[in-house]
Amino acid sequence: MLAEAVVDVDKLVNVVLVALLSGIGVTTLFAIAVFGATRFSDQRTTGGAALGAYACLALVAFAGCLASVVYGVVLLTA
Amino acid sequence: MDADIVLVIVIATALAFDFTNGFHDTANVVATAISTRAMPPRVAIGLAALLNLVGAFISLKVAATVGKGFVDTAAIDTTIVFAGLIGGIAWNIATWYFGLPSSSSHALIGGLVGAMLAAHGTGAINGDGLLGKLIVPAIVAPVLAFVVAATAITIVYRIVGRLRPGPVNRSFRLGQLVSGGLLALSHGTNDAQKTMGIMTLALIAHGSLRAKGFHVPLWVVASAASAIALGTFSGGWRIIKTMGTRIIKMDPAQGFAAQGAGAAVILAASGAGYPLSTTHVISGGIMGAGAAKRFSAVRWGVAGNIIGAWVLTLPAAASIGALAYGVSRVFGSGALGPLLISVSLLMLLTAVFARRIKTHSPGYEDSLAPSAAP
Repeated sequence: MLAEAVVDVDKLVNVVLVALLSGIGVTTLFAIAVFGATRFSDQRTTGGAALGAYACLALVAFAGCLASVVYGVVLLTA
Repeated sequence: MDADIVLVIVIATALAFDFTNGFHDTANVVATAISTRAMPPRVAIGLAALLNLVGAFISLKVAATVGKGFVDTAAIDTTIVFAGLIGGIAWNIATWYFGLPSSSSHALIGGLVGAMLAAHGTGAINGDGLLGKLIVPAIVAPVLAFVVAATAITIVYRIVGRLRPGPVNRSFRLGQLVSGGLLALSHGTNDAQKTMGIMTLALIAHGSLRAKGFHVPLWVVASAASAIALGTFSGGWRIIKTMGTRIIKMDPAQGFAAQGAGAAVILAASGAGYPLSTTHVISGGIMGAGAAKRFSAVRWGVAGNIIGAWVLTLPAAASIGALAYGVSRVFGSGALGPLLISVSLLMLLTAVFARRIKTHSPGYEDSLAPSAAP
């Protein structure tokens, strides 16, 4: 009760959630982009049906990663 | 006239503190990027200094918390702010000299609280603010950075673990340009604002600003931003030397995860107005990224030092702040006390720097890494 009165629990929980989501989310998205790009690069010489899918995966994940970073900074400046 | 002189001394001391903050923290911001060879040291330091400058302009919530969250602004005067700064600076110098992982932020706030206690007693201290806005976030933030970095790197290894390491490492090195930049930005956002808060408090105490509404003037923002950026740039050259002799072993994916975790926690906290110890958060991120790969690779002694520093910093800086206030008041309420203390501190600083350069021993930045090559 006392701790709740002193600490703004909602605000603190919000910070924890934002940090967890953005820290893990952006890193995961970037790793997916790296996965897609590396697979695309590996299979480019041999070709194959999955080539386009890997390129798309890399692009979408990278765009998501970039958008998350920009959105975070914009939110902070707002 | 005396009040104007004290104000000038306080502003100069605050900017000096900000400079030392940037100088002190450069290692934390750039060490990961340099160690994974994501960036050459000169580029990393230049970029960190620039983004520290930009980051300082992003938000003012932390400045407001420091300025009005811990002490009664109606009871403050410029001598109290001065004594608080002396408490922060003196504790920073002592911990830097002995290689202890101190938090500049906690030292600054501790010094201010100590000086206020000496001047007005406990009535002028906002205990709830100290606990809710400083102590609890100080405990939560490094643990959060540890968890974020550890979880993130575990997921990364699951995703890219079976790929060829060459392209993966190259990609994560590129990614570190962004994550390292974000970390520098977040550092500027959180740390520079603490000085802005103190400078604004001094202006309120002097009567140049009204306490109501808590407005940080643009020149305060610009000067604090420039001081921390200059400090970052100056501090970097010492790090090049350190990195040249002691290479930290960390793969680029770990570096990316550690920097990303640090930036995420600091930016989220800055948005909420929490003044964090960026040193502790970045250390938490690095340890998390290291522990997820190999638990024993982390220097757990560093974690112990951090906890020790947490416990010590607030009371120690507060004691020095209180002492500085007491000594200052011995010479009356004019400018003589702050002037004499400033000159003494400058002389002490020169002596400490000279001695430190003569007998250089590894600093805190050397002990941050999960593991180090011989």
